[in-house]
Amino acid sequence: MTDLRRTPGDPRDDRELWDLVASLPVPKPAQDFRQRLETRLAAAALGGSGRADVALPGPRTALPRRAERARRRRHRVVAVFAVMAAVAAIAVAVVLAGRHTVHELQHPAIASAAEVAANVKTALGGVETIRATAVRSGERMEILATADGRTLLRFVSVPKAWAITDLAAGTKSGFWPNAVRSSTGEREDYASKASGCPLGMPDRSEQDSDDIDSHLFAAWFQGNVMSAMAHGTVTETTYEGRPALTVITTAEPSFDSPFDAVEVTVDRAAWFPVQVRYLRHGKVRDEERLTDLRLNEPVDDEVFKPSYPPGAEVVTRRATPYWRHISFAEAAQAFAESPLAPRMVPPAFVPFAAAITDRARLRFIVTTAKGGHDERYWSWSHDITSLAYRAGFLTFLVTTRRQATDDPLADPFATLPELAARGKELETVTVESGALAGVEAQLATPALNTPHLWAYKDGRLITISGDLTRDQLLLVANSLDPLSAEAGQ
Amino acid sequence: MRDARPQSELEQATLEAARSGDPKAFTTLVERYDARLRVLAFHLLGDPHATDDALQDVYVKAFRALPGFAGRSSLGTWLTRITYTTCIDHLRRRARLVPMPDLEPDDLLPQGPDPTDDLSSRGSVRDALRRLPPEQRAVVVLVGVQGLDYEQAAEILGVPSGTVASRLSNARRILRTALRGDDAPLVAATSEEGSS
Repeated sequence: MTDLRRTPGDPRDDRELWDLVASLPVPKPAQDFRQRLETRLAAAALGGSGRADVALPGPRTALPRRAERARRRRHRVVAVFAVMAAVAAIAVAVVLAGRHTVHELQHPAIASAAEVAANVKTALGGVETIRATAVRSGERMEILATADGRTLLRFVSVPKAWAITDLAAGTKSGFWPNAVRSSTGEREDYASKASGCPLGMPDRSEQDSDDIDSHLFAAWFQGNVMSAMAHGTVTETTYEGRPALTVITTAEPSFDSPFDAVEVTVDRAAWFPVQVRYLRHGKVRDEERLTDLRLNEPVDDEVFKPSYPPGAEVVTRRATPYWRHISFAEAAQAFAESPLAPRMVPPAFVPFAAAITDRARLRFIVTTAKGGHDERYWSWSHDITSLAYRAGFLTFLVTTRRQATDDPLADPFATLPELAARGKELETVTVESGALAGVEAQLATPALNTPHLWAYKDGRLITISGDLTRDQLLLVANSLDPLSAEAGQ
Repeated sequence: MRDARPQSELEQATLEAARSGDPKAFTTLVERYDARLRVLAFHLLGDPHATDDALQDVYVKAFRALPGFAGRSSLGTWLTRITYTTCIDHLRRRARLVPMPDLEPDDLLPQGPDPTDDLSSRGSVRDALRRLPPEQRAVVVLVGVQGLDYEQAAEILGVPSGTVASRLSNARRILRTALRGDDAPLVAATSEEGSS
């Protein structure tokens, strides 16, 4: 064999070795790599950080001021979603109140916060459509939402802007005028359509702004608010002149939490939350509320079809590289092992949507030694199936994944430090029947996070989460069996 | 490495547009460097998704820093240095807090005949390379594969030229030992080219 060295002993001349290294294949970029990059660069050009969480130029990211506000609220995002759920619920309540006689101060005394939460859940489960104006940190949004998982938002402060989500289809579309800057320095419109959104926690989109539940009325809002209510104490009050109840919940102590109490106000006539406040040391740190609420009005389906201005250049991308929304029957046979699905569900819940992916990574935020925050990932999950069940505006998910872990106690839902279940919020239970019979599961009903349960069996992690009480979580867990191809038909 | 500074008026205009904050111009500008930056990032991180994530961060960092890019080094060298430091940061964070994600490039790698199948096991080369410290892997890619001289690599890595040389020498020795033994040819000479 010829010695190709220029100088004897010079390692650079070992062409045989280096050519062999050079021949190692290198994967091509993901299909949406450039689109994601351009979106992040657009955010950076507008003065944002260019981080993934501000990539979608929306009402909170299109302008530097909003981007900054979004970053500040990053660590409270799930809790804020809960606030919005409450606001939505409030809207329903107000509408109902408008349609019914208000029995001012004639209600029987409320025994417990859990009773309030149960009544709110009943009301949310019976609503078909909601119209309202949401007020969040001074920003006003007109909302139209349906029980089949579609939401239309219009932003009062950004005329002509809109955003549409479809939970079952896993899509988000939006249009924001003058949101990006052209090569000539002029601002241009931004139109986008994202598909492949996960159904919900514990799975998330690669960018926070792509999460379906970052819009109103998805599964977790109600779950969060009701979870908080179930822990609180009740006092009588008024809201915009109407009889109301306020449930004040003190969270388990958390060094990281930006607030230590949640205050949910519920319209007493309609049993819907109308305002949520987050407090720390008795001071309000965040607030969301609903006004101008109307319930169960007829909705024209056309309003949920994205309508971009003529000539708009629509950026089509995927919220995640892999998630696909399919039927329950297809989900039953998508992988070698069928996912687990409940045989028993709480009243009124029906199969709603199914989504699968070959792989995904759970993402979470940690607090750094310097007090900042940084993003981390679990190891890869495989063969993931997420099944959604819905009743009115209530949703819960059952998700099955192959997941290696060295720590079965690690909470897949603790995406933020302050959201981890603590103390009495967390318990170990033994599943009594079904596919998980005999398995020890962790059941969490934290004040500031969605009620959830997780368990490992045979290399698979199963999670149940959403608008469920502790007993309902157990009901579902005790009835899990492999999903059959006839399910959901 | 050939000089990667913009040569044409069009490229210069693209650079100026990117410098003034035009995302599309910047994306166009860095496209020509993406392949070689991707090779470095992938061999440092060993995971296709982490590579994408790191390169996204690289380009956002570069875009934000471009107005301050003085041109003392070539644009390619500058981008390569950002890529190296960003990947090292990713590795440090990953090692500190979470287990290494499963390496699962098999179904993501290009399909088709492997030109090295009749030489040595590609897996052996890859495994041996992955066992090297990242600093040595970077030198292997920059000098061994991409042909930079020691000075250019030293500028990118932020170390003296002598350090680059010793890292390459050590890396070569380890790779050779791991594969077939020190200085042994990787395969028996089978081609006419090899015997010329």
